[in-house]
Parts: sequence; C-alpha cells; structure tokens
Amino acid sequence: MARVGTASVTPLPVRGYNWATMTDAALVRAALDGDSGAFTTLVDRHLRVCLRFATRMLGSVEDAEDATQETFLRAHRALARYDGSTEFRTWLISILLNRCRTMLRSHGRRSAVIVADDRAVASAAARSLLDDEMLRDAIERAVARLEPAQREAFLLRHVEQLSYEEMHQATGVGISALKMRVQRACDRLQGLLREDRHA
Amino acid sequence: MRDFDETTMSVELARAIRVLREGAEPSPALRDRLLRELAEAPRPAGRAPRVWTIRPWAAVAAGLCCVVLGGSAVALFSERHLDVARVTADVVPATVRFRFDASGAGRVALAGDFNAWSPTSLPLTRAPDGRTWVIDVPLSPGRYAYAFVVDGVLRQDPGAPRATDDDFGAPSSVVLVRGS
Repeated sequence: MARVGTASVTPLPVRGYNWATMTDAALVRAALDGDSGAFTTLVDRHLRVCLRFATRMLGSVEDAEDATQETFLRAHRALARYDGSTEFRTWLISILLNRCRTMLRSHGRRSAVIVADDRAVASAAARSLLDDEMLRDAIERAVARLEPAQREAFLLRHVEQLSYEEMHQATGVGISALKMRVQRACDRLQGLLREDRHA
Repeated sequence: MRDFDETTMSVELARAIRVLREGAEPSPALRDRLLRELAEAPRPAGRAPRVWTIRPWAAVAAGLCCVVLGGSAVALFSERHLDVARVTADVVPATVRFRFDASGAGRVALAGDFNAWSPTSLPLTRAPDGRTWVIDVPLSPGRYAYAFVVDGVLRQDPGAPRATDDDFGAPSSVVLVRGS
C-alpha cells in the first residue's frame, strides 16, 4: 500500500509537461496548484471505469451518469483531502460507492422493480441467447438481481479487478466479509445464469 | 476461505464477467457536461496560489502590523498561562493542543482542514515521556476535521469524535473551536 508522506508525492513537473505520462498523484498535485488540464486528464483516465461501475450498480445509464458526474465534482472539491495512501482510482471509487449507495437507498423502488421483474427475465431467457445483445441483457438482469452489497463486491472484484486490499480501502468492509460477499455473489450469479440456460 | 477466480468458475460466469468488463463507454455529452461543471466550480481548496503580487506600500504596512500584533501577543501570553484543550471542551481562543499516544512511532504529524491535509506541514514533537506526541496549533473558531499521520498512515484520534462526513476513504476526527 502506498504510504502517506513526502515520498509518495511526485514532484510537480514544469508546465508544458505531457499530462498523459504523469502519475495520478502528480496530476493531483498539479490540479491543486491550479492546473485545470491535470484534472481533465484524471477525468479522462477514470470516467469510463466510474461510469461502468455505476451503470452496473444502479441499473440505469441516466442515474449512473448523474452519480459519476457528482463523484468527479466531489473529488474535485475535496482534492486536497486525497492523501496518496491509496491509489487515486480507489479513492475515487470510494466516493462513487457512497453516491451509488445513497441513490440506491433513495431509489429503492427501482431496485425492487428489477428484482421483482421475473417475468421479463424468464421471457428473455426463453429466447435464444445466441444474440450478443440478448446475452448482455440477460447478464445485466442477473447482476441486477444480486443484493446490493453482493453486487458491489462482485463488480469491484471481478469487473473492476480491484484487489481485496483495495476493496477494503474503498468500502471500509473487512476483507473476510468481502470475500464472503464475492463468493455468495458468484454462487448466486452462476445459479441465475444456469436457470437462464435451462429455461 | 475459498476464493473464486476465473480458472475455477463456470463458463457462464466467466463469460458474464468478460461481457460486464466491456461497454459503458462514456458519451461525449457526459464528458462535456462534466468539464463544463468543473470549469465553473471553484478551484480545489487547500493550496495557496503559486504566484503572489504585492505592492511595496502593502508590504510595509503588513510588516508594521506584524510588529504591533506580535508585540501585543508576546505581552499577552507572557502574563497569561496558555490554556489548551484536548478537543471540543475548554478550547481556548486561538490555540488547541493535539496529543497522540504512539510510543513506537518514528514520526507523527497533524493533517486537517486547517492545513489542506498536508501530511508534513504540522509535525508533532515527542514529549519527554517518549510516548506522547504533542503540537499546539492556533485555530480560528470553527469546525475542523483532522487526523494524525503516524509514520505515513492516517490515524483517527481515538479520544475525539469521528467526523461524520469522512466519506473520502480515510478516517478522521473532528474538533470544534469556540470563540472567546
């Protein structure tokens, strides 16, 4: 784990430096020193990951875009609080997680609709899964049927490919509990996909 | 504990994961909207501008002020005991003493809202007992989130309330400084 301290902070390069080759930590320092292009580079590096995670978590592109946008704005406001003890991506995801959890709480209805929509799942499963789009839909519906905590752990581990240590840093949940959630999510997801195949 | 990986999971699950890793390409509209919002947002707080401009007469005036105020402060504190407090209670105007017990630590610093969460700008001094680390920090009345940086790792103050808004991945405590 990267440690807080002077050694973890890369010196600010001179103006005109190529942002694309700078580390996230150096970009944060440059952004704090007023270099707005540096934060734009951070946006470009992490926007896709944040949007993908939020889309899978929230099940709605519109909500995911809102959560992602709010995450970057909050990160920008709180940039001085990024201490370098974790990867910038992990820190960003910790903010995004909070946004997603808040939205899931306030949009409980939406989650319930997805979970309760068994007829739609069965209907989709009855058709051929050879079509890529239908396969994607079936997988996304199955993921949406996971409990939010399991879905969160599964997506962080297997889709965003965070280590358990990074997941712990981002979620604040213990590593054993996270492993258990991932395991249960995998079991459940395999069951759902098997049902789909046999339907 | 058993841990899933792609070599042991079912074909269906492995395929699902590959599918889930694709897609969700951000639309140019989202990026544009976000960058517009960022352009209108205030600059990230916490660091002084790099370039200062100051007029000569202002520098002279500031110097005089420092002499007058500094002299007053010396006169005041030489007569009064500097009363400092742990956290929320008994906070004396201007100065708060932060203490942290860490006998095995090599370096302890204070990071918080008041120093832009710099991990190095406010180092604590080891007390004669070899266990307690101390620093006195002048603070204006207000609410500040803070944490100790112990050998490079952020630690919450065990003797202070935890900040409720520390949703940025690091534990922090809160100190309330009352006015006189």
